[in-house]
Amino acid sequence: MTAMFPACAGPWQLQAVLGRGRRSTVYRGTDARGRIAAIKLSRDADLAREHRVLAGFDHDNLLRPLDCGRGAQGQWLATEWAQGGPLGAAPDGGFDEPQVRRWLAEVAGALAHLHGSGWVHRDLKPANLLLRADGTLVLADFGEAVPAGSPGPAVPGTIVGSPSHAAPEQSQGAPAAPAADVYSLGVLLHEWLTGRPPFGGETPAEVLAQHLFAPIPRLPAARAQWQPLLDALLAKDPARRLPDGQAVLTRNAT
Amino acid sequence: MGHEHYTPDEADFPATEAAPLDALFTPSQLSGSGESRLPTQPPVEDEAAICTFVYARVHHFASACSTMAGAELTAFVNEVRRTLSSAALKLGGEIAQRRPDSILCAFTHKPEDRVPTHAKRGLHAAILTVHDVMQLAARIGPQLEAAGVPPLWIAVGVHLGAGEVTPRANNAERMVHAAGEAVEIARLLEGVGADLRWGLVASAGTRLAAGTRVASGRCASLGLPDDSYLELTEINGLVPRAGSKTPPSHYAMLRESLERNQQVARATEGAPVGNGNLLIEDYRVLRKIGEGGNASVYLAQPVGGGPTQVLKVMRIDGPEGDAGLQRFLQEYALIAGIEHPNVARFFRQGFSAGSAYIAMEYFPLGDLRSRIRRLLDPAIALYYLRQIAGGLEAIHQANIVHRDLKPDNIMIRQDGIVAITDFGVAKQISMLITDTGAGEVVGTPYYLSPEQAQGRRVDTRADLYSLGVLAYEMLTGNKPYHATTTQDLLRLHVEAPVPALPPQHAHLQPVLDRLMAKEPEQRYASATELLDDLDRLQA
Repeated sequence: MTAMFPACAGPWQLQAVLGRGRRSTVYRGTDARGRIAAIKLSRDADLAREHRVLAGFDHDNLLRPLDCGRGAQGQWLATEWAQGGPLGAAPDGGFDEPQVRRWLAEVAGALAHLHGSGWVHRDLKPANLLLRADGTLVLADFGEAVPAGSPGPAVPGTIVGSPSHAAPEQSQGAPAAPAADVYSLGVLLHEWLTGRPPFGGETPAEVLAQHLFAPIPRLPAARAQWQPLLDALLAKDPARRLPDGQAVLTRNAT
Repeated sequence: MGHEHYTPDEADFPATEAAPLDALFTPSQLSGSGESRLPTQPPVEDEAAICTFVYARVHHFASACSTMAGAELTAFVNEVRRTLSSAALKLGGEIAQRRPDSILCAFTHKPEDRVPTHAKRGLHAAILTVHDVMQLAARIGPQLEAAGVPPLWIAVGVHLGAGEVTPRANNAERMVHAAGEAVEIARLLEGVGADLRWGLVASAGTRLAAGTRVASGRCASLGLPDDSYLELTEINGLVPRAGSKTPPSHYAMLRESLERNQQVARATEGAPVGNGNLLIEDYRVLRKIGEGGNASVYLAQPVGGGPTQVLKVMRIDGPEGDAGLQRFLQEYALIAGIEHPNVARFFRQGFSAGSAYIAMEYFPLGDLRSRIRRLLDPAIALYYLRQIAGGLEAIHQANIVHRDLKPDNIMIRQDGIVAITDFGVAKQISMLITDTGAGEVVGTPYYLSPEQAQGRRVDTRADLYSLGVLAYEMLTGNKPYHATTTQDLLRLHVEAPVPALPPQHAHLQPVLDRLMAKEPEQRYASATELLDDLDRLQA
């Protein structure tokens, strides 16, 4: 057996588990200077790559990388620690308007920056949106991010990202395109406005089918002014959707 | 109250220390299959050798200290320190690390022993340490109670495994350095002992190596970060050696101390520490068969005997913990109430350290998908159809819509009976797994009803549509609808006419039409109605 209980990763002393993913675990860590960071540890994920991807960006709503390395437990990646943790489920009835506006602008801004740099995130969902202590949102987890135009999975029925938030074309083998992130933002927007996902699927097949096939839901009267934007984000056909984060920013500003 | 009140005199240490412990070193006491794996030669220098590590920690130590000051506090701290190390030192253990409230001891192989005794010495020391701490706790109990401070208790983890034990330079106490995985596991077991309120926990291998005189109670499996599993056992006493001259009261006293420690632990508040590791009581985990961020599926053997079961585990310590737990409980109550030969059996639900799980029937023969690769005999197809309809009837009567009926969710028992699985809370856990990560194969929605595809209201009749698709497939060997894209396939579910059965099955066409009708209102109202119809056909 290998060493199993990581006490440290590079200069970082690991203190507590912040979250677990399929292939990695995120810890809170400190270094000798007393800095606090989020440390992602994985046996098989290429975290050096994720570090390079993150380091290529410079935007206030994208997670800031610190350093990375390799230890006995595999690779590790240190990033800023967003104290508020992942964005939880929206309450019944959704968040209030100013809150939704602010988050929408922040996430669209982050997407605009990474789309402008030629990348697609492909896994935009609440668990990958972290709250800083000052209440700003940061987009995290670039494990699925690829340059726009990268081929989709070859196996039919394989989905990139999470079924609940992935765009219809992400389950159909389409190459990566910024419009997929725009669709996921639409799913988030619906959740923020109503407290519910746009489609009520309770099995993977239902969720998949409804993203592909079910009509875009109507917002309740009190939120009806958002319907045109929601329709532009959740269009089934990527060609009829707002193309990227910048387009969402521009649309939202007018 | 001064520390004189709890200064130990020799009378406080039980005579058990002397009498039964002599017997520890009698090789004939060793038994059990575990020992065959233990090295019988002295360990080579500078190499990790098999040792037994004991990690013990006194709980509520800090709050006890807060009631004291000055000389009294100093005396109390010294007293705890002595109490934690006394039994270990007497039994040949070496101290590797000590903190005011905890101690790590290493028991190494002694070259003069013909067979290793370190597991035995380590476990006996652990038992005696619990006893000694309980004596101490009883003495200062009134003082703590008067100050409104919770009573002392102790958790101990004992594990035998590879570790490096080396003497420390320049130290009067003859302390050692101890490192290695076994040390970390002993620490982890202390946490388990605290979480489960068992107090004293040993890995099953350690218990086995210690011989038959160590009495054990409950069992559990602990998942380790490298995906291996460690079987654990609660230690609840010592059994007298055959022909022992030690009065039985001494053994009773040790048992009482272990039990009192558990009682105190159970009475204390505090969320489980969990350490994020899977912990399942009463099961021996065999292997993991599925995993997502918040859920995992294991194959496990009940410790009490019986066939292998499937454990579906979900974490409930996340941000949505309480809501998730509530839903879990309600859903389990629903599925547990279903008793039907064509429905998978659910054995129990459980909770432990940050997770909830259900134990359900395991089907080594797999699912119906493998059976329908070849065309079924029509009589067999009908036989399966009736069974699945019967299972659906029972599930629907419990107010559950399956929503995902497909050959992969219909399992085959040894006797050829089929059983429906993966519904209710079991399906929720599957869903957690699917929704975690990338690269997941969701599958093609061949069996999905039109209303599910369109996101309309779904009721039990959606399952009858799926059963219709399955009936067509079992009778013809083909799926009713094929398309090049998933969208087109969904459009066929919504718009295309119900396909015609081949001539030899024409008498079943009305049945298929009423199963696969586009509108739920045009379908059978229930599985019962379908079964009645099939009876009429066969009559």
